[in-house]
Amino acid sequence: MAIGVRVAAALAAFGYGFGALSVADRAGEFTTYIGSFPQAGALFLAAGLALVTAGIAASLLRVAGGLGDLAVAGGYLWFCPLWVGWEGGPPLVRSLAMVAQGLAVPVLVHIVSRYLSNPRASHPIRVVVILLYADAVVSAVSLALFRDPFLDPFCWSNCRDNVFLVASFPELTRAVQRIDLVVTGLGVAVFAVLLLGRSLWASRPARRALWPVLPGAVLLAAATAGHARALLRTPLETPASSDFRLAFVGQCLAVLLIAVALPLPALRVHVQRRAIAQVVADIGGAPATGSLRAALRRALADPSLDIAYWLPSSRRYVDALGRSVVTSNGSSGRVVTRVVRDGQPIAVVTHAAGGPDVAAHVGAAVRLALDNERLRAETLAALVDLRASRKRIVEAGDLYRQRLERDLHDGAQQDLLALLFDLRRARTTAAGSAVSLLAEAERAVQASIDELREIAHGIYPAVLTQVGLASALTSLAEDARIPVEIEPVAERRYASNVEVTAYLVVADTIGDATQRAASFAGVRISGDDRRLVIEVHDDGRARTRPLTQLEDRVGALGGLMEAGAGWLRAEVPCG
Amino acid sequence: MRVAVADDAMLTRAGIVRLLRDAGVDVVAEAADAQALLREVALLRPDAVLVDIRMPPTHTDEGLRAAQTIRSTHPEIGVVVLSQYLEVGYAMRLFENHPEGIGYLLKERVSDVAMLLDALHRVRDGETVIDPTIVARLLGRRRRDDPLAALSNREREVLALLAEGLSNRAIAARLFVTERTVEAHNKRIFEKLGLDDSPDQHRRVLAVLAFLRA
Repeated sequence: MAIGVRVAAALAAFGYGFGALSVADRAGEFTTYIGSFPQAGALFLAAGLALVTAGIAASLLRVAGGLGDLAVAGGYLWFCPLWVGWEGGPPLVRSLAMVAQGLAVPVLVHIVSRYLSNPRASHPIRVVVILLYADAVVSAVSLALFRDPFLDPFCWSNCRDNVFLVASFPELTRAVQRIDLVVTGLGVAVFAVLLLGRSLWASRPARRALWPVLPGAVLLAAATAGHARALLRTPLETPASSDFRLAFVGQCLAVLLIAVALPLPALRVHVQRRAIAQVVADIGGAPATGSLRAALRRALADPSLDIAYWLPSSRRYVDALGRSVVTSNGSSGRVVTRVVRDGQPIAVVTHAAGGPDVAAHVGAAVRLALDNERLRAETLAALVDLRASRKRIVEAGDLYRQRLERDLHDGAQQDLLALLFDLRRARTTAAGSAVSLLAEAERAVQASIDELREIAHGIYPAVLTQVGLASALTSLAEDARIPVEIEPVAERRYASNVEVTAYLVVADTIGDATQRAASFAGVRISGDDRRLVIEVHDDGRARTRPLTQLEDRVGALGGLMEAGAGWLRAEVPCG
Repeated sequence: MRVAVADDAMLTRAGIVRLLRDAGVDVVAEAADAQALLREVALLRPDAVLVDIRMPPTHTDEGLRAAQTIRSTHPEIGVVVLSQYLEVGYAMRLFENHPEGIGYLLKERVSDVAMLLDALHRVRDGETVIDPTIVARLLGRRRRDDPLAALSNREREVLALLAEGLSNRAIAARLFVTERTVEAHNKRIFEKLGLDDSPDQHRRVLAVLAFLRA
């Protein structure tokens, strides 16, 4: 429907409303609530016109869900009771208005239920709305066909005209009226309870969307239920009675409140859109990592919002820092919105249910910013992969050396020992020159055993894995050619790659210090659960050899190393 | 003397057994893994056990743990652990706080049958044995303010033998002096190094080792 038609309908409603009021003023003193007290007319008119105004405003602001049209229709229906009470007016008008007036409450309830848009209104609420509509339609049609105004003892606003009358069944009429009252009264009460329950359990953004319309909805339910109850007790409606007047005032105020709340979502969406646009402009071309998520969280008032970026090359999702993440398919209370740019998926936004529609907020500027962050995340992801790969390479090397040491220990070294024992045995039964030859051979084999042991130890120090870093360092000190003092080390174990790295740093530095003619070296190991700190100081000459190998190894574990004249410090993360 | 031998390398084990038998030792059982050794020991109750430190299934410290088990369940049986490693760390783990009746020898020491038999006898008698090569390495560690420099040559010799776990009588026999002389040496050594002279021979070994490792 073109906007022009909507505006025309709204303007017509104004005329329609004023017309209805003037009709009631003149010829309906005892057939409507107007005139029962001085402000009744103004209140009623204000409520109806406010609803129409809110409806056209909602349409202009492009509020989703057809709320604007519903509200304008509601405004038209709202004024029907005045046409019904038009004494002396055309019977067709009065009869049509009688049929239509029952739909006013269902339409208002329907409007309120449209606020539960994200996620959609739950099953029970929808059932209640449909029930109210069905009841209104069935009652209106039954009363139109079978209610004879002359035979209705409780008629008050229209005791004369019903052009649709087919047959006259007073008892049926009465029954339908009573059932209608019960259903309407219970229906709105249940609706209000469900709504309140919904607002208590909803997420924060959903609650914020709901609270503007809550007072009006609760008041409408109370007033309508009160009116129904009063009618069931005293079937003759009398505007002068305080019960009925209270219900009337309640309904008018409720409609006013609902009307006021109607354009609020659209206003909020506009405000948020501008906030996001502002933020995107602020961020500029080179945002800090994660600033886009922070900006969206602020703009949408949803601290649980998360963004995951799609990497087409490795076909996975990562966060802003390049770490892999798993995206859910929208668990309870969370909604997943996919963002696409130029036909390519770029990101997925996970946020709390009940809040504003994220897809509506992601305009071109935000899309561009998302794409930029995605590219950065891709680079960071490659970096994360690279670090992991480097670490694996170093560990593979260590594992290989461990195996080599074990093979030497269990293979070549054992063979030499067996040979040594055989030579020894041979010596006991030998005689003459053979004895000294065999003794010589034994010494040679023993020398080989010592040498092989040293080689194996250089390949990989088995004591490191089996006893720990503290023991391995003491062993280094015992072997060293310069005095090495090791400050007491706690006997705790660390991850094996951390211990190997620490050992190698110390071993390499002591060896280097020896070459630089140091007279001693001091070693300190400290640290906590998160990192190990290795410090070695010595009094040797200045360093000339670069420390690339050590730096590489320490770097592969994500640690840092620095060195100066006579000292070296390495920090290795343990986590 | 009745001895059980455990080593998973068949050639080495066979060599050890032959050397022992040649020397007149009654090798009552051979085992290729820790479980088999514990079964044989429980069954046959040898006087002493020779066990390799690394055995199946993980080839890390099965022998060590078997030694500890034997010492706790059969305190009258001495255990000598054979290792190819010079590191004292293993020995310290083996002893924890009770070095009685346990010995730690380099595997090649087996070819020195006299020393091997001596070690087996000593652990059976409840003493401690540490391989002399390991002790020499400890003593040879270079230090800045060497506290060992305060000791005379004789005292250094005595210290080495103390670290090897020898009793006063054995030290006296080795150095051809009287036991009383040895006691006097001990007293002076402990004073110079600032150690408490523990009358308990076993604690003495631990104290000396701890001092040398610091």
